[in-house]
Amino acid sequence: MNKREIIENKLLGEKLVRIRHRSGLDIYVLNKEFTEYTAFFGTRYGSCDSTLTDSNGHTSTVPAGIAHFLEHKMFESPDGEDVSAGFAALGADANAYTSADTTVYLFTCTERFYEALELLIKMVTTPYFTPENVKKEKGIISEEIRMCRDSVSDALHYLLMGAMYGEHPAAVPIAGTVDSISKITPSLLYACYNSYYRSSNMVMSVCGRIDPDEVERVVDRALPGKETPKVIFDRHKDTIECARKRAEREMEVSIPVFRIGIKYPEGDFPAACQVLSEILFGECEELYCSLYEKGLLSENYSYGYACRRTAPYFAAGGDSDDPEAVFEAFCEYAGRLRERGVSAEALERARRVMYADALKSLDSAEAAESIFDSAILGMEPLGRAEEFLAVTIEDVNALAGRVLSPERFAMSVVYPKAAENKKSVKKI
Amino acid sequence: MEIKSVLVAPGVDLSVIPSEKFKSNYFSLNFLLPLSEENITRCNLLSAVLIRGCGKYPTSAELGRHIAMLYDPDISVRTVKTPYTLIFRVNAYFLDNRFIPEKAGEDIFEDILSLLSELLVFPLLENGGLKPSYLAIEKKNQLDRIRSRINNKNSYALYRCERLALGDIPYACDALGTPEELEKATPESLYKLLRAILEKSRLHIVYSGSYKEGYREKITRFAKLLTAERNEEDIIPIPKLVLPVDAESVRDEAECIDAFQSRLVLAYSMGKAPENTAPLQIFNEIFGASPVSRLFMNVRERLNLCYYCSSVQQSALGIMYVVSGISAENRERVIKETELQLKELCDPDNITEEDMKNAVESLLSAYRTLSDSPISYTEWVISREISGRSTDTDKYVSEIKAVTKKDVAGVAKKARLKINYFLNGVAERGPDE
Repeated sequence: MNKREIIENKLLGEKLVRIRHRSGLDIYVLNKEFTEYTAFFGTRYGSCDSTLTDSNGHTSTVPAGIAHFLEHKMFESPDGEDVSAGFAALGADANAYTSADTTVYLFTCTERFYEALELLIKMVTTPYFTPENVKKEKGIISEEIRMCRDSVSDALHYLLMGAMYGEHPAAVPIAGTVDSISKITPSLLYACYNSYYRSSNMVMSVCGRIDPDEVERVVDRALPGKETPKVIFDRHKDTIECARKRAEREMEVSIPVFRIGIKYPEGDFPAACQVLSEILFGECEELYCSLYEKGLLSENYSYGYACRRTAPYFAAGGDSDDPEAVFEAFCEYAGRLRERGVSAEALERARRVMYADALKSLDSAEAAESIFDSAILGMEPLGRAEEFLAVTIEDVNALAGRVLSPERFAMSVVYPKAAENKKSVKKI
Repeated sequence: MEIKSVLVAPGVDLSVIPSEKFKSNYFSLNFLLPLSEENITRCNLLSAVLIRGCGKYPTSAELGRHIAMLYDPDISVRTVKTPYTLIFRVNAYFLDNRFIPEKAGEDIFEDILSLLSELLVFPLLENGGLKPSYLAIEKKNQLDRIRSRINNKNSYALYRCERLALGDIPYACDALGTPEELEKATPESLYKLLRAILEKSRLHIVYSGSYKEGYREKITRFAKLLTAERNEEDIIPIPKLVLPVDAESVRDEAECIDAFQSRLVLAYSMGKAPENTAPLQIFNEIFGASPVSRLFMNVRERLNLCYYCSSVQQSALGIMYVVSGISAENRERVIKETELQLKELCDPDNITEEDMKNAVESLLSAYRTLSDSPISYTEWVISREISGRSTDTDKYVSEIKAVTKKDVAGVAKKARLKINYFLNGVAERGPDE
């Protein structure tokens, strides 16, 4: 039997229907008066899930990039057709992405929603891997890997993850390397699929002018199976200390680019973490403003708390002529917050900023994404906005006392190539 | 979606897109200026300096904290380049009163208008110019932005090809400005530019979202405050669109860069932009803009030569770019296949009913969803108004639906390769490869 629950939030003026499908799948339906329909269907399986456990309990490591490779291959059906064409025929635009801890398939459309939803479920539940189609994909993904190797932000991210988490799969690019994907075979793909693509490990969220009964009928038809066993994840045993304080490299950039990270493997109290991140790194707070005034930071700056199942962290980064001076100022400011606590004014600003952010995330058909992101982490999808307003100064100060300790801090920097190594743009 | 347009001051019109379905509202001021390197450089600088502080909130911290307490409206001042004109754009995207806990009964839009007035009418001045220390920092930041263009190899390759394709038309001015013009800007010249924008630029105001009683009067008062010193006859007209000159032969350009992947950008001349762009849009969907396009299905899926390969139209200027990230040894194969797919579309018999149906559905679907976002719909309205195209939604839909296979083939036949730009990635790939 399927179970249904209605979650209502009067302040937000939203009603969310949660259906626990008999297969173990959690489905969220948000009815919105939008023209566009959006559906997200994903699994708790990402690049950090780098091991497989067989029926005898034997654990083995799989090639880096296999979750992402699997995502690409799910678009191919046994009849040899690319499923994208099926979506296009329904007027739907389908896509997918893989992160450190999830793989997500999605589509948007303005008509024929239920047909597109059925196609999405069929696609995600019909793996089809052959030596030929696996070989073909290696060419495409190799080019994607090369493109990502040229990305400065990717370089900063993986350097920082390596500095904080050491030999953790979070420090390896999501798409893997050209070498690692060369080891991927159809049988490995099937093994990963069967281990992680189980209904009980998956979440679906849909948004638009949607009838929950019809969604239930579609899922019943397309996903008739019984409840699947839960996935047991291989947990990494992370310490709170960073593996290294620094990770650097040179690339074709004009000025140094940096990212400061705070390792937080505990990953608890997500609302307070986001509020603390705003107080620490926010663009109207002391650290950013003072560094901007000194010309050490520009508006090319971003920050946040990466709330995720594996290897969570705080980070802030941008361009600077002197990343070491930025790091020093950060350590000094973090130390002060830890010792003296945050001010009531800064807390109120941060609460308001995060509240507005949560509301805006529900203000378009992309609300399905916001709901998916919360649900896949086991958080209450409509509760985030009010959780931010409810964060107290005691919550933040207790968190700051734990989080803002120097052994958790690290920085990655990409420096411009030294003149002797430079192959800057030249006519050929 | 209903659009109501009225003139609220000399050279100032207001378009309102009322909707109650959002939690946030969008208010956008669009000052139009002629395209030039001087204007674009100075507008970029002005945007950055104005958001640093104003008379009432003189530092970034004070201004930022005031904004945060208003439940963090996105306030932005930006410079946008279009083929027709330069837009000095000031936006506010703010929560509606209904969702602001302690604001019940009050109107946050008043606070937004007041803040925008402070930024534009009462900026932070020192000795008759904008604050010199802010300008000095923003000059450096802008110079860094110009130099860091090379950091993103995909957009850098497109930028280089675009420069070659546009020649010396006004739209060819660099979107970030030039170091030479940066050098010339002074606190006084920037303040003078701000005053000139307020006094002489045509201004399109758009409000999208919950439009309450009395808002028209509030916006009119605000517009009059901004433009208090303007005379109708001083308003700067928008110059006529200038198109690039078509070269007789294909220009081959190649540069090398320290990157793992090479980027190929082909620029095609598509002939003079037609009044009705629907056939061009349908062609673009079928040729290279969708996940079932000819380029995607052949260059990527059949030949496995790339991760991305797509077409981008600059319809007003009659230019199409085909962009891809490839390994250097595949360059000729990608060019050959692109040309082959283009040639195929020159024959209407090679275009299927399914191609046409998918393309029409994709465009109409994208169009319908504009009404789901106050920002997207506002930007669509502004771009149509600036280019002198109708915002009549029924007309748009019927034009898209009326396109035939013959029309699409007609667009393909006009395409002529103009620039073949190759950014050769020469980084050593190492043992991993």
